[in-house]
Amino acid sequence: MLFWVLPNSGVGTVSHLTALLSEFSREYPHIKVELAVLTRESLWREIFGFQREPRRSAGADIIQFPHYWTALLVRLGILAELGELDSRLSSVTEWIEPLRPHCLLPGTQQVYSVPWWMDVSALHYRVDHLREVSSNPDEQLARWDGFLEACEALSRLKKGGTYFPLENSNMRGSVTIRDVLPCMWNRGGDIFNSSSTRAVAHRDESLRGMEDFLQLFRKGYMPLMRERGSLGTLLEGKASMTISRRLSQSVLPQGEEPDFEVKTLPVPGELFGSHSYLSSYNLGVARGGKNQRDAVTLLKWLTGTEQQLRYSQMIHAFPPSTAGFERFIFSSHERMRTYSGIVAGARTVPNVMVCGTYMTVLDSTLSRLAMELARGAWNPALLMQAMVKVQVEMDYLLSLYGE
Amino acid sequence: MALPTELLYRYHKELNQPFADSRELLVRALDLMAGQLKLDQVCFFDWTPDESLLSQRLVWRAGAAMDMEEDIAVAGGSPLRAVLEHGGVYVSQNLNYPALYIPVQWKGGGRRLAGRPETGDEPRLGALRMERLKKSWAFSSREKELARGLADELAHNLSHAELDQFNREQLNRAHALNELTGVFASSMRVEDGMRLILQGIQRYFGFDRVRLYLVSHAERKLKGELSADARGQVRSLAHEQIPLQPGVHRFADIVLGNSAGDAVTDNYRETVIYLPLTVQGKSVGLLIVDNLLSQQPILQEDMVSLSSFAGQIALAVDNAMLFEQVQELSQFDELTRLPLRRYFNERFQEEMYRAERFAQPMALIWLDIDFFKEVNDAYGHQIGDQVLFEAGRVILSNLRKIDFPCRYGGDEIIILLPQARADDARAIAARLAQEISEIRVPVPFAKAGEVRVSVSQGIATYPGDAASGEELLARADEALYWVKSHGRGGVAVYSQVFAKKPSDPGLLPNPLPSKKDQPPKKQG
Repeated sequence: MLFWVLPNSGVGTVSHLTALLSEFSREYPHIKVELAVLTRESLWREIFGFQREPRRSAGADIIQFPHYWTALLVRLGILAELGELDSRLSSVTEWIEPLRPHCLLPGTQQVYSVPWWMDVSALHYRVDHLREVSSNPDEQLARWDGFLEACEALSRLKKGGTYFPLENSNMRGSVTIRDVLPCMWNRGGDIFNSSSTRAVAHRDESLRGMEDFLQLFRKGYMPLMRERGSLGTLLEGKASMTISRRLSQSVLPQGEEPDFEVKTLPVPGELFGSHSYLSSYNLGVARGGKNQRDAVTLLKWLTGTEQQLRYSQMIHAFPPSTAGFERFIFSSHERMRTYSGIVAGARTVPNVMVCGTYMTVLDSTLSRLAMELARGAWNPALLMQAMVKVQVEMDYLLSLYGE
Repeated sequence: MALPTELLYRYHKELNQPFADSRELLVRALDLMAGQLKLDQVCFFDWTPDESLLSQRLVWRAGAAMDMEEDIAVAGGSPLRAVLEHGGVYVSQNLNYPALYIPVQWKGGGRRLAGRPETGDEPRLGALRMERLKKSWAFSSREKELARGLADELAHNLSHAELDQFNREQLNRAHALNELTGVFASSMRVEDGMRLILQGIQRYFGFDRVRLYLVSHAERKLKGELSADARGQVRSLAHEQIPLQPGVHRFADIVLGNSAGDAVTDNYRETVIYLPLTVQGKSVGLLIVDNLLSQQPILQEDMVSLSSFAGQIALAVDNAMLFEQVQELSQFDELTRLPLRRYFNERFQEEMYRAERFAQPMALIWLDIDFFKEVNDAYGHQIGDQVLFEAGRVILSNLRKIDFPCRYGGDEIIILLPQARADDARAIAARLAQEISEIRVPVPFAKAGEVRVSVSQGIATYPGDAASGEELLARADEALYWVKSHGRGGVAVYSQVFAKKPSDPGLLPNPLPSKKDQPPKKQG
């Protein structure tokens, strides 16, 4: 059985999953699981390739994908309806509320995917570093301007070397729309209008939010497109803060705590408050696959509360079931204090057919803009021009493939 | 360590075999490299000098290959850039463990993206990063030499693998085009020919969407026809009508040959292809294919195949149009636009079968224009034709989508009403009677200056009045005869008039035209 997974824990993905699946193999020795680690980009390519030439591609039996692809994958005929394969998978009530619509074909109660793990953006900072530049870091870092002041003060204080006030948590070393979205929301912007029928990433408030995030690179507060591993991290003291969607050192399990204090706060707020980006990574079973029964067995096993908790912990992510998440936050006062509020105020992007394309186009546009930033050829007009083009294209696609 | 030449030979032997694609080759090559050079991790990057970007494609680590992402902006004038451009080995100065960058340059397999200018046989560029995660374990000169040799061997094999892959794809493309030719041939003599052509192009080329617009020279318009998408859905584009004038719309400009590309077409040149269709120098339409949903660039080879196929596509479209026109002429009455008797008989059989199979009701209205012969005789056939034309228009615009009317002969019109009971049919008949009574055909030489008409209608239902199609027609005819023999201008339902007295509600009075507007009765 072929399992397409995303690089959930970077280069450690295969070793983590192999460890997890060794238990599965003990329980189900007759089911052999073969892993293929694909990036979002290569997964996207494979899915469309498979959809075009199902006979010529070695398609997966079970697929991991971002939550907002569910509608698209169903419409393309890639996913099987889970309720039809196993009646116990026909309900979404066990998942935390905001993730439920992402399991369904929009407009129906038919379940096509289930969340495996989730992440949520937050600001993590080293208390020892921030105390050098701020008398009350929690208060200062609650606002975007206070956060920028702290970045500036830190970059003056820790000049030279490979130090940056912020660690770039983006696995690619670049920037994606998922990194930028909290800043857009905090400015009152978004990528879709409220009914998800129009693209609005070109509007002033959305552009201001994007500029907020991009200026972290422009001002040299955060590294951009450098060799992975060439830069210091928060742990090594070569960075003081990071905006990351993964679990921070502040709430790591026992035995993994660093010898310095890390605190976690919501993403610094702006006029429209403070929002985090919540995303889940869902599992679906390929329609017409040869090993559907085995795929369902694996899917149920991986998304069971115990395995969710275990795998989330391995990759420093969060369990998406209500029971799993409650067990996660109630296990320590610090977790409860830090993450209950962040998740309650988190937002996500809609599960509509064009959302995957929209996010892909935004990502490649931001990548191109990042190149300009890295080259030092940044011009604010570039952002607006690029987003107007994106808006025209997306509105057109929405008119064709809108729900 | 063995001599590099021996290792290189072993490496060469391992790679010198067929691979499904370049990824499969890379996975094998990185695995072997890691073993030979005792590496903890090997990464393969694509190198795009125009963008100064090293973009990671694949990582090998601890026996497993994974697609992975890492973007590195390579500054102009940097030592890494110099190595990537001129060859050699670069030892990373930024990583805190030993890592080598080695450029890989190979001859591409001929794949190019649509909309990109022809640039000759440009080499493909990449780079390897070989990593040892232990700080102290630096690469020796001999290891660097071996690493370069392995990279060169990889480049050589990548050229072969990509060429093989390209050839296989070309072969698949040729097969697809061959199958498509069959689709086009069959589309020339079947209904829904356009649909078959579009679905064929969408399926065989694998585009996200294919749209077809047809040129109406008479109306000087480019008219939307159909769109087929990746979901297998075919939709009508009939609502899209573009004036065929320069500067009005870029589609029109493309058809008129006035388009030298604009901002919009330039933006999407890798994901959208516009293909004007001409037959013997005459424009017949515009085919637009796109990959906007998947954002996958359209390959130059697909564009070339599609362009070289444009003549066949145009011919198939033209033939399908002709076939549709001939079909329409043989199935529809030219004057009233109502289906003809032969076409009706086919549908009638299908609907009867459906009604029987699914135990659904059905009704039939037999409609006759009162005194139509007198209209013809008094005012001439031109006026009679206008009356028929107007009646046809009223009927077509007052029926449900599932209803099926037919000009059965002369002024007799039959309307099949699937899933309708007597009351539904009576309501439709009443509406038709009302609407037809409002028809005014100007006749300048007539006393009233116009002609107005009324209709008589007989209704029969299945299964209430009849057990078969023939019986249903006969009962409706009898009900019509009953109306005609009871003063015309009314509606009668068979079961009601033949079971009850004429004063019963079986007979519905019709808003009859006033006597002065009625055509004169012919003497004798």
